[in-house]
Amino acid sequence: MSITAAAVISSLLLILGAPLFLVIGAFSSLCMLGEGYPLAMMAQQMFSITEKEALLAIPFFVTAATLMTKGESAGRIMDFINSLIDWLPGGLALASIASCIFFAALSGLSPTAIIAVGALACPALVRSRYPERFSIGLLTSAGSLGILVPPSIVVIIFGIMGEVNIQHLFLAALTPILIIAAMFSAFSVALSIRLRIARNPFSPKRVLDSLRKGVLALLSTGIIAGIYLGWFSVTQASALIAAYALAIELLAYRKVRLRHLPELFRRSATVTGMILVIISVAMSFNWFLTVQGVPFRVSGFITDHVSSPIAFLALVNLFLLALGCIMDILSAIFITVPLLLPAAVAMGIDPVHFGIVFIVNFEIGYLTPPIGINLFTSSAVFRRSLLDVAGSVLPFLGLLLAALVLVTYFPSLSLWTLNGI
Amino acid sequence: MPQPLKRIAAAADAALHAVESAIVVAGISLMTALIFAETALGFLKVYLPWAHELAMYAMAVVTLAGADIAVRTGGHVRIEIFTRPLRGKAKRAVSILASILCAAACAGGLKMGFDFVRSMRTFGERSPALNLPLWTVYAALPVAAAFMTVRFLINACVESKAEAAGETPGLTDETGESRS
Repeated sequence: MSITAAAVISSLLLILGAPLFLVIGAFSSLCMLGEGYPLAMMAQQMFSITEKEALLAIPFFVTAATLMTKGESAGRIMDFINSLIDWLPGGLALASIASCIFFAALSGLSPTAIIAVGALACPALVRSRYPERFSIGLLTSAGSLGILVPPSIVVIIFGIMGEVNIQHLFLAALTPILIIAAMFSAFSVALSIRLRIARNPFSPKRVLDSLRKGVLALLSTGIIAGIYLGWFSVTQASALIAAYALAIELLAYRKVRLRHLPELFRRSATVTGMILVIISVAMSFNWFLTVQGVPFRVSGFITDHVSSPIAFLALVNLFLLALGCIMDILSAIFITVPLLLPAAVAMGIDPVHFGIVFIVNFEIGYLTPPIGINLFTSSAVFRRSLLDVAGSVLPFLGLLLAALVLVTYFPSLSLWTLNGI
Repeated sequence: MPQPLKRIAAAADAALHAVESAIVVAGISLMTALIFAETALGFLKVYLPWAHELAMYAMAVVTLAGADIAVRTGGHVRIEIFTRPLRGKAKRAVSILASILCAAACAGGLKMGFDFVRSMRTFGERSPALNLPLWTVYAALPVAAAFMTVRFLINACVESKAEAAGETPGLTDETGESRS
């Protein structure tokens, strides 16, 4: 079986909409057969997921997020965030940004934020006299920011596929996420001042009340902080947060009952399975690429033809922005990271910095047609045409592109947090 | 589709769903308990290498069972740029063709997994901490491939509710919740 025949068969599967793990698996196994490797090698490489400790974090974070969003914790944390922020100029928009980031980070899924926050926040924003177009654009865009915030599954998967330290990636993501959130916030505040939108009064009683109600849920964010502070590894933090979420939802808030657990665990396992099964076949594919010397040849080709890291990063950004239009971030990580990351390292680019640039590109990919998943979700949630939603995110796309340029060409913005580690 | 075939598909679906559900509920509970205990005891300088190993194996089994459930719910990540514009009979025809090809690919995975387990059994390799025969863990691969083969055949025979409603598989799961 030649590589051409393997490419034709797997392309057919891809075009017909077959699951990506089968497309990669079919290509990988047919190539291995063609090159004379036993298929047992593929099975062995697939099981190498049992040697990657960081992968355990994925089922735990997914389980914690499922419990917290189906229970009371997520809502109580959001109430506290709102009470702290929504009295500021543009406060309701700022609270919506913070809630979207929080929800997207918690669930690891950007569209979840639009569903959870958007349905409530959009009517509230419009009632407060924010233009509907702005409100939809803001809520559609803000959810994409969560993929840089712990416990983002996207960051964990990038770290595993690129063999980059996941804690370093989370630390490096801190400044870029603050820059992008600040840009969105400044735009929202400027608009609210221009439109003379009334502010909510600050109520210390409301803050204290929401703090009292949400204190147990808020303690879970302390476990996340433990990752930044080096108290826990990502895996340990994920297990602690899953156990903690289970305990407070069952024993304190009691919205989740024992009888609900099988359904919630099944839901977690489905998300876990769909992510980890791609990782396992992608690992066998990467093994095949490595023994064939493909990453080495690709990075050699790039370093021969691209003269500087600046030109390389510009080309990578153009490539990833185009790829983000037709491919979701998980697929892109599995397919391109093993090829692009060695080339980036050969050009002298820090792999952590490259990871942040890569992920910011795909934050934009969530918002670009034809397959920007946030556009579809918003179109369904807000009952507006895809074209209307795509038009509403344009100002935020501009801000994200500006942030991408900053993050790409000022590596210190990402890397200064790693000083001293 | 003939009624008896539909009934067989429904019975197979129910049986697989019961087995998968039991596996993932037990697996996630076990993993959480093991790693929580390992982390908590780690602060007291008590280390449980067997717990970590068992949790990793449980993760592999949960992954395969979860991937199987995702076939049922149409939740797997896929590139939809070519199939999204299709409607009606054309969409259903493409879906049937894709399901049959996927079933064939999974049948290939079943053969690969079976050969692999047989060779591991011959070598007699054991896990470092638990001293488990490794083929017992790796057996999850051919079993999951067999489950998925059946699932894709069921998908080819029975149009899912999401498909019938004109929704894109992968965008919504059985609970109606979106995923990226």
